[in-house]
Amino acid sequence: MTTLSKPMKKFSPLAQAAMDYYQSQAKQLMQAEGEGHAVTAFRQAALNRFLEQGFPTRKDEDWQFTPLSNFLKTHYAFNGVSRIDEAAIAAVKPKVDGWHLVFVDGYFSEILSDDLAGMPSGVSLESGKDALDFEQGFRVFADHETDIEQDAFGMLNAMLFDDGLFIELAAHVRLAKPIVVSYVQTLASHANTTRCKIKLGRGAQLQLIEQYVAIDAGCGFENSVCEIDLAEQAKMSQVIWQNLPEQGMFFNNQFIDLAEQAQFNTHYIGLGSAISRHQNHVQMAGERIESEQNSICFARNQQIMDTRTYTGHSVEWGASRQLHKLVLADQAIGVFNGMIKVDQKAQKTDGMMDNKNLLLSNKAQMNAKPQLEIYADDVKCSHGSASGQISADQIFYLQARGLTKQQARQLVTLAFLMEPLESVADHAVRDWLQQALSAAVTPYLN
Amino acid sequence: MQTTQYEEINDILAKNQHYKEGFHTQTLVETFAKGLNEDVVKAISAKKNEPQWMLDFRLKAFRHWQTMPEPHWAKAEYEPIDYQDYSYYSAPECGSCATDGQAESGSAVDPEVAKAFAALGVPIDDSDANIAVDAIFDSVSVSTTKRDQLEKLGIIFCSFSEAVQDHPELVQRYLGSVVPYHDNFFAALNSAVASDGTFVFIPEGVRCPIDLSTYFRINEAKTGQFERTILIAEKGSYISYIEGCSAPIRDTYQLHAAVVEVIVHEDAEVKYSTVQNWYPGDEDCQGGILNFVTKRGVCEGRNAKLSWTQAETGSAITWKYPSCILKGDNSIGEFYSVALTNRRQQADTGTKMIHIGKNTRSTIISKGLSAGKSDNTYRGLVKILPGAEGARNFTQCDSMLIGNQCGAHTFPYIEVQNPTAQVEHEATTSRIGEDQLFYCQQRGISEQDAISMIVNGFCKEVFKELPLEFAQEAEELLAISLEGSVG
Repeated sequence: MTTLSKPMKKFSPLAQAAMDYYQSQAKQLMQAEGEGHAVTAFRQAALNRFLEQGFPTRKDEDWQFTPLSNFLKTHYAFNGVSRIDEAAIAAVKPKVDGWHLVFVDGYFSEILSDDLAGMPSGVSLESGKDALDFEQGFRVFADHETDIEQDAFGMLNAMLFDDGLFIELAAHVRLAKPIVVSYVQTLASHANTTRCKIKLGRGAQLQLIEQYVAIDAGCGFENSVCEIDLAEQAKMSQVIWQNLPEQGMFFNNQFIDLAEQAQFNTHYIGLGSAISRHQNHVQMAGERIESEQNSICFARNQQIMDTRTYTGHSVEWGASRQLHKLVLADQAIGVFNGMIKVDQKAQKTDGMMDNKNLLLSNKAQMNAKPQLEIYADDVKCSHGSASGQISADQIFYLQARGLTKQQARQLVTLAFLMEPLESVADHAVRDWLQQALSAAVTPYLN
Repeated sequence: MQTTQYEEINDILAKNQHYKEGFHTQTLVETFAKGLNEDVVKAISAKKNEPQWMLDFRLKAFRHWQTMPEPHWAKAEYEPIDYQDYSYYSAPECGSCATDGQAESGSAVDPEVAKAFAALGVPIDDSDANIAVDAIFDSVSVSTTKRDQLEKLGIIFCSFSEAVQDHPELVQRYLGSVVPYHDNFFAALNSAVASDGTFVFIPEGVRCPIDLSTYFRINEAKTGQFERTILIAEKGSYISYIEGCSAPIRDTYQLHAAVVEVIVHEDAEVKYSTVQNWYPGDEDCQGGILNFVTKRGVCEGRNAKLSWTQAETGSAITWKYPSCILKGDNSIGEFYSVALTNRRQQADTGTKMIHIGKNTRSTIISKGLSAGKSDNTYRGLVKILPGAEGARNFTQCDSMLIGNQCGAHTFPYIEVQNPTAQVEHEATTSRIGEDQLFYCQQRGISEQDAISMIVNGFCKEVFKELPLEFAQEAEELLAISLEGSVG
């Protein structure tokens, strides 16, 4: 009873069936890529690991509140013919002036994307599919493979990614307009597996907006992995807008490496999907790095929304800021999990993690776990988490000024949700986000 | 520049050549051979002359324990424990007669054991001390004082073994009701081989006039202590209970796996204070006590109140989460903790507050101090169940790092299933600043006094919850620990 040898894992029939299915899909993909392709060995290694580990269950601490049974029931298809309706796709693009790129059902569409000829020199942009055509092309996306494959969805991604995006900015290149990527789903029960790599040279600056949406029948399984690599003094701000239909599945893992004096700012806005899980892994391995991570989540009905961060400070003078706000209505379940880890060498670290949650119904549930792991003594680290309902005083105050109860509740809830947007520096982007958020959320507030 | 400052502090910390409770008592003892199997469980039960139901409980727990894996999720690194390498029963020969013939318990105490407790400052004779003491030496309770005085009020204060004999109906009703035998690995082990412990019963409406206290002493080498404490506060009663502990210096790890069950009925209040000062081991914490404790209380009725206060300075490894199940409406749970780790000590401690009833309130104040190369972790759960209308929780976890080779960690779990609940959690990390020390020294306060003053200020919120003499003891203990003589 004291032996520590791990017994063979046993999987539920549901999980086993899903594992068998994804294995067969990976095998098909490897066959299509042709024998002897360098990527085959890479995919096979991920597959072997996946077959050993399987899908997490609620017994895994990191998945305690994120049950996957609904995800496992559907076997998401990897082929299908997209229904491209240009007008509809144009309509869902964010109303932001930028370089627009479009993915349809997990594949890059050159026709629907803007002509990139006008981009300044020093910007390279390539689709993942093109990169994969090269013998060793997949390697640009695999810098964090050990970390990526800690997670079942990371393994699935390694086994099955077939497209994505590679963006590289040479030193000191600055784009005047944001790059706006729309991942559009048009097929039901379709799996979209993408992998991205964003690489900023010294002092380069990029603003990236990513949007996950669907048109009519779309309610697929989005599984993305993104590697972001900022050199010294590079600066990047990122917005991820996730508003998939209520039956969708969304899993996104980001691995962010920051070098000296880099600045990174990310906002995740989660509104859709039956199960959504967004995770940042930030490594601050240089002096005077500033990072900022924010979440805005609004979940209703039976949605499960999971947002998590890992922030590693390994060198002196790093500053990290986090604000995660969740509003939960109906029977929704919210999960926040954050970890700030400060290494012994990371003196003078200034880390702050804040999580605030608003529960709008008796059946909603919030599970928060803000964590600190500190090995350096001269640091300023704090975290806070608070959950509660709308204060009756606030509503009374607004009603006293002539608002109806419903208006008052809407106003308070929206104001609560929008706070993290204040740190979006670009006014045009912030305005778009505020309007879009208000339009998306207001119908469900009463 | 920083290193030099810490060299000084660490020098002071390193002058830790003696753990003053580290002496060893030589007396005739009866110790079971090492090893654990069903026969040992039966032998322990037979030794204590236990009724069949108690033996059945032990065997059920033992069989379940054998199927469980040893938990390693805590932030503490240790080799898997060889449970066959411990002895599961040890008693001073004379002490065992004390439990049989309790009438003359005072005189029957082994003089060596009596000396040991005298040296520890534990009043085991019915002296004028304004406190009633149950003294436990290895596996048995050797003396319980002030029993007659308490009996007049209807209070039962005796060793667990006696309670099994004299109050079987109460023990049967409450044993395992808060911490079931299958609850966790160490609780199952404890249920199987429970040595002794304290049994307290406060009848309806009685306010216990004096503090009740238990002092645990592990003496024999390579023995485990598995005490089981049950505390029942009937409707409208009040009790303040204190426990303390220590062990001699040994070069092998000793095991301590206790279970404490507290039942608080309507309008009753229980204050449970612990000063834990088990032997922490040598420089590298080799040979210290492995302290795996399950403490849990349930606020059964309306307006019940349970308050845990702990000062943790000892043990090589601490794994302890005193918890409150707030079942009754308006019930209150409190947790005040100071945990200090030095050298290579590892403490993973915190609390669980489970809010079930309406308008239940809980407060958690946790102060963690890490020095040397130690790791100090707060791990806590606040859970608000759907029925807990208007529940309220406030949590504050402050960590202080002394030196740059230690770690301070905070792992809070917050689960809210009711929107009317208000849950707040805050955590901060700080250190003793060079400037603070300089300021004090400039005014003629020695560096050591300055450290101890700053630390005491940091811990004040918790110490004010301890009974007076105890708070003093805890403060002294902290000062000594920081000097390094205890750890």
